[in-house]
Amino acid sequence: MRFSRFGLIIVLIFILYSWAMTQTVGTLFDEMKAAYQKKNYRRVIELGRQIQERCQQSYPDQECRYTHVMRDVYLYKGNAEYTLYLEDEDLELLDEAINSLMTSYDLFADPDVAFNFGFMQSLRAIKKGDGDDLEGLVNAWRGILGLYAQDEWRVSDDLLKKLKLFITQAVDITIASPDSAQTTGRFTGFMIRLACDLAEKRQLSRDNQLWFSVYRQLTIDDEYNLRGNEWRARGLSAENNFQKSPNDSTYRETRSNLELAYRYAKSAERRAEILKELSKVALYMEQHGKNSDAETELQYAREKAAQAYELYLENRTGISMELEREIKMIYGAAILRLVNYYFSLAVSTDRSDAYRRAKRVGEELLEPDRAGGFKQKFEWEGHEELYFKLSDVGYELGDENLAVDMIDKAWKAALKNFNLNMDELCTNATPSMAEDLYRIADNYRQIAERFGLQSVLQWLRPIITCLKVRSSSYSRSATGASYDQK
Amino acid sequence: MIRNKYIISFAFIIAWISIAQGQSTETRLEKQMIDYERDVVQAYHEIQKYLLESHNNQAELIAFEKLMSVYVERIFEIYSTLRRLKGYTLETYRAVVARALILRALTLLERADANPENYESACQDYRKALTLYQHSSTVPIMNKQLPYEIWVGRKLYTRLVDLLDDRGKGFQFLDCLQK
Repeated sequence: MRFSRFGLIIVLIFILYSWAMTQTVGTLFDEMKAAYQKKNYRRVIELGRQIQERCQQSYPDQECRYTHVMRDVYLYKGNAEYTLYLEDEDLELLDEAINSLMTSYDLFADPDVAFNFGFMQSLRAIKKGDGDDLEGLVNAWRGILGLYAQDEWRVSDDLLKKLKLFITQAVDITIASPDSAQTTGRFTGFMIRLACDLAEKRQLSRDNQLWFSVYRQLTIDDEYNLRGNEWRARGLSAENNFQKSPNDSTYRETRSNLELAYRYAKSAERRAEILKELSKVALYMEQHGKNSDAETELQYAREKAAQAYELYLENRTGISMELEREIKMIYGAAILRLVNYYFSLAVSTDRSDAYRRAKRVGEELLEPDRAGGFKQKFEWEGHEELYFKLSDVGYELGDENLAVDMIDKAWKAALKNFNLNMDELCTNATPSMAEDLYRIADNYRQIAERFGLQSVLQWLRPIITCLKVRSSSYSRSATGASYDQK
Repeated sequence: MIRNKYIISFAFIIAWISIAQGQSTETRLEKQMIDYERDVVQAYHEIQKYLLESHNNQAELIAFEKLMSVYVERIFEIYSTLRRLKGYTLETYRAVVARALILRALTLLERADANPENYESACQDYRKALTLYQHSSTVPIMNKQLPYEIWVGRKLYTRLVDLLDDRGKGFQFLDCLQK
């Protein structure tokens, strides 16, 4: 009884085996096709493997020699593997898909297949952060040229979509593995220009025209520096997000993108621009960010702005006037904010130490004025404020030279700013100007009184009186207006 | 009688359209061939700039080599199609193929030390280019004026032979022929 049951099992196994063996490659292929149409991708892969095994036997079925059959076997298998990769994100499946499609292409040079496995190779390179692997781009381009020829040298809608995919991948590969510059971006930049040339062979919609021109520009700027340009674009876009919501995460992202843009920048102008942006971002973080370490951010902003200014000095002709103005403004603002920061520390820490640190920071922007005093190295929007603050520092430190020199410079800078001279001050100053000037004049008076500058007090007193009258009328009208509004 | 006239003119129109279509296909193929040659030259220029700037990374150089191959394959395909269409080839078609092959050979030689296979491939291209002119009585392609300029660094080349001599590749190609 036991023997007969055992025998039955063996017979069953034998029947199953012979049934399996009777299935030809042709029937397996039909089954595979049906499974592919039903989107049963795991079955497609399994059947594909069975066909591969069958075809590797000593006496394979005749279908193994039919190019049109085997081409489709590898095509279905490759497509199925890729679809499963999209679900599982298993890179081994992606490898399998690439190999299958490559075999299909070897059997029948379908350009669409070349594009697809090229695309997958690039995807793998991006996922692995392997910016060195440019093979995918070459293969995808081979496919694109083939499709272009197939469509009788017309750029179809489908080809346009493929060109966009190609360009996006080329950019992503260029910046893959951001910490080590594996490629210079020269090849990818070249390929993007070729892709844009091809796309522009047809009439493009306005959106597409813009899209391709943006990417073309991305490859051309800064001496054909695709890698640096892409980090700059990402940095500036992250900066926009950071300004909308300034927090630690957006700040770190912005800074790391901009730092990479700086690392790969080719021209002095681009380096100066990125340093200026880094400084600007740090200043913004200090002002608006939650839990920011003010001193660290301000010191970072100062350091980057100083580097940008140095670059400007070394390459004056290569830097635009607009950028020069911005660099000076950011550098000046960074120094002023740091001086203010140390000045404010005097309330809670060692007073004289805080004032000395404020002085040291402020002196970074000063140079001898050939009249025994000091002036700022350059004029920037707000330079009179720095003079004014440094005069405060001098006053607190008891440094007569610094206090008097700086308040005098602040006073003159303010007059120059308002385009006024001393003789017609009381007649020509508008109430709002008078209020600003009164603030400086009053400080000037305190300094003059402390250090016994009688001659200064003599000319200053009448000016203060008239400025006070004019500015108080301004304050009254301003208050009145606000009451009226209420 | 009138009916016959109609038939004759209709046949004439059909014949004229098919001739025009044939011509337009050839013109299009020729145009495409020239466009691809321009891309080969562009790639060659890029490689030269790259070689002058940096020798650190070979990946980009290899990618450029492969890209050139893609274009040379395309040019060869068009050349074969034209030959099939017409039964013979014009001097211009041959010149385009030969120039593209020599430029690829020159590019392959740049990395011949690092990759000995490159030397073999370069020799093959060189031989193929010469074979195209085997029974031709025209001036060899090497000595002909190029229809475009080739810049290497600050130097301008207008003939392939000058480029070969100056880049020191001429002797290497002579070795290929001796083998």
